[in-house]
Order: sequence, then C-alpha cells, then structure tokens
Amino acid sequence: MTSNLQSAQTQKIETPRPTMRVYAPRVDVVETDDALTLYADLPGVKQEDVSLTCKDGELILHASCLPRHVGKKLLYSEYGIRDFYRAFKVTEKVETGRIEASLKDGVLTVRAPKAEAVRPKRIAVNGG
Amino acid sequence: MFANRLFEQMDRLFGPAGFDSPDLSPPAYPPLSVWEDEDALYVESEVPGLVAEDIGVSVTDGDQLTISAERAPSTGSGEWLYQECMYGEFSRTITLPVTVDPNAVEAKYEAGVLTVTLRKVESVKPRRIAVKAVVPALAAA
Repeated sequence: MTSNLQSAQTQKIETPRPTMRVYAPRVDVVETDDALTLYADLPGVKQEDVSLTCKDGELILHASCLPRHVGKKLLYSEYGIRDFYRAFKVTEKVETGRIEASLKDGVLTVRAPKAEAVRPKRIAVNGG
Repeated sequence: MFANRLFEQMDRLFGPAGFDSPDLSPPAYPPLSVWEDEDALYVESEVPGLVAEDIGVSVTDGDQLTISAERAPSTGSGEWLYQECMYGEFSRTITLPVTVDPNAVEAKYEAGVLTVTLRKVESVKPRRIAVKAVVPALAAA
C-alpha cells in the first residue's frame, strides 16, 4: 500500500499533558487521486470545541467533550465521556492551507487536498 | 499434579477463563449509558452519523426499550487507508430497571448522541412518607 497518512500511534496516545485521559476517536481515511479524506466519529462534540492543527507533518485532532447529565444518578454505563485526541503523521504532500473540515451529526470530515506535485497526471499521447 | 500446574500457568497467562471460555463476543452496538432522577430515566447512546428521522425508538411491555437505525457508509470512492467506523443496520433492546410510561417517551438526536427520556410511572417513583410524631397520651408526671 502506498500509504501516506500513516498512523502516528494507535496504542500510545500522546497528549499535551501526559496525565490527561482522552479517547482516540474511530476514524476512516480514504485516499483519492487528489485528496485525503478523514472521517472521525466524535459523538457529543460541538463544532466550536474541535481543534485541528497541522504542524511538522502531523495532523492533530483534539475535541473537548463536556460531561452530560450532570446532577443525575448514573445507573449504567458502556462508555465514558472524555476529550478525544488523535495525531496522524501526514507523509504525503498536502496543501495545508486548503484543508477543509466540517462536523455533522458527530462525524468530523476533514478533506486535505494533495499538493499539485504529487497528484497523478494523465499524459496525453499524441498520434503521429 | 503437573496438569494442575500447567493450568495455573495458563490462567496466569490468559486470565482465569483460560482457553475454554474466552469472551470473544463483540460488544453490543450501540453502546448505552443510563441515568435517572426521581421522575425519569435517561438512556443515552453514542451513535454518530445517523439521520434523525430514520432512528426507531420504541417501548413495549412498559420496560423494553428498542433502538434501531442504519448508518450509511461515508460516501466517496478511493483507497481505504483506515476503516474503523461501523456501518450498517443495528437494533438493540434493553430491559429498563423500572416501568415507564410508553406514551411519554421523548427522543432527541444531537451531535451524534441519542438521548431517550422515559417518564417513570407513578407507582415506581420514590415517595416520601411523612412520619407523624406521636405525643404520648400520658406524659410522665
């Protein structure tokens, strides 16, 4: 696989503060000829609480998530509510200035267009 | 003797279940959490990527809550580099700890989180019993 968006880490999660406990969101990443698209499940996250940083070839996703149902008694729980954090190493050349992101129904979509230099080009063959 | 030691070692390596009964069943989907207060139960589920109108929520027999929906895969063609999100149809039924009013169920879908509010029926709500102070008829004189 000529993979480019490689996982910086899946098991070990580096956080700004080592003591901060976070969840790594589930993601899908799809590569096309002209872009890399990342879909991340961020249930319960509001648009203003998502931060995406592209620095030194790393795409860092951090989303803060506040506790819900404060003041009620928790009876049963199959998941916790914490911040989401995950970092990806972007080895493919992408145009960082043109990365677009949107959040809908708890799914974050990040589209990173590839730099012109790495896009496959179709070369026209001229008949003689 | 030797066999026992072997099993002890295996228990240490693989946990007390050993090879016989490892729990390989996947966790139920969608994951649920339940809160309560005096009047209601709040069943919450993290189910991102759904369409609110397509989520089915129903209560039967007063305490069986069913949540069902279908998540369509993220659109677009290309080469998958990661595929961790879950897609497809799901349905899950849970037994609620108390009887609820099936006519007063509210469901809300916001930011990929489904919250179902279920009102408890009157008979199961906690009731404060007033304790009467009894004045002895004959106070010790």
